[in-house]
Amino acid sequence: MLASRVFSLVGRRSISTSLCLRAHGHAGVVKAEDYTLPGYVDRRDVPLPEVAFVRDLSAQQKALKEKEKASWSALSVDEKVELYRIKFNETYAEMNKGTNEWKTILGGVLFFLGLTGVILIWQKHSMYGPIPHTFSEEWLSAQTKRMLDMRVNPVEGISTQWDFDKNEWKK
Amino acid sequence: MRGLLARRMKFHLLGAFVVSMGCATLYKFAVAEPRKRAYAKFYKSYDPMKDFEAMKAAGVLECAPTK
Repeated sequence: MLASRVFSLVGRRSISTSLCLRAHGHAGVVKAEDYTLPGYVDRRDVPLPEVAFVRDLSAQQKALKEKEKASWSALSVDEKVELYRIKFNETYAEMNKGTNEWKTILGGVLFFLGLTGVILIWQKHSMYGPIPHTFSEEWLSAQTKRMLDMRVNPVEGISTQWDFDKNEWKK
Repeated sequence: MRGLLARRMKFHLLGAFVVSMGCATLYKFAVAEPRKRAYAKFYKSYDPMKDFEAMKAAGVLECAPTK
C-alpha cells in the first residue's frame, strides 16, 4: 500500500511536471495546448471551419485585413483571393480533387497476389507429396462410366451429355 | 432545406427497386424457366422400366444383380 502511494506521487509528478514548469513562469495559468483549441479542417461537410487557416498574419496581410473593414468593392480581385487564402487552405475544387492513390493500391494488390502465386507454385513443386491414386486417368474414366451407368443428374447434368444409344458423348 | 437527402434517397430508392426487380426477372427467365422446360422435356419421354433395366444390366444396383 505504501509502495502504491509512492507510485501515484511519482506518476503525477512526471506527467504534470512539464506543464507545471511552464505555469510557474506565467503566474500559475497553464498555456493552452494547441490540440485543445479550435482547429482548422478541410472537409466537405464543414464549409466554415472554426478558425481561419492562417493564424499569424504578416504585416502585409494585417494591412489587407484592415482594408477589408472598408467597402469591399474597393478590393481588387487579387486582394479578394488573398483574403480567401488567409481564411481557407484549399478550395472545394482542390479538396474534392481525386488523387492517383488508386494506382498505388492496385499495384500493391496485384504485386502481393503475384507473390502469393509464386509461393503456391513453389509449394506444389517442391513441398507437397503425390496426389491420391483416385485422380489417375484410369480411375477417373471408370468413375465417370459408373456415374453414367447410375444415370447421375439425368435432367440437367452429366447424363444429358452422354448419348446412351451410340455410347459416346453428345456433340 | 435544400432537399439534398430527399433527392439522394429518391434516386437510390428507385435504383434499388429497379435493380432488385431486374435481378428477379433475369433469374426467372435465365434460370427458372429453362429448368422447368428441361424437367418437362425429360419426363415427357421417360420410361422408368427401360432405365431400370439399363442400370441393372450395368451392374450398379446392389439388390438387383445382373443376370
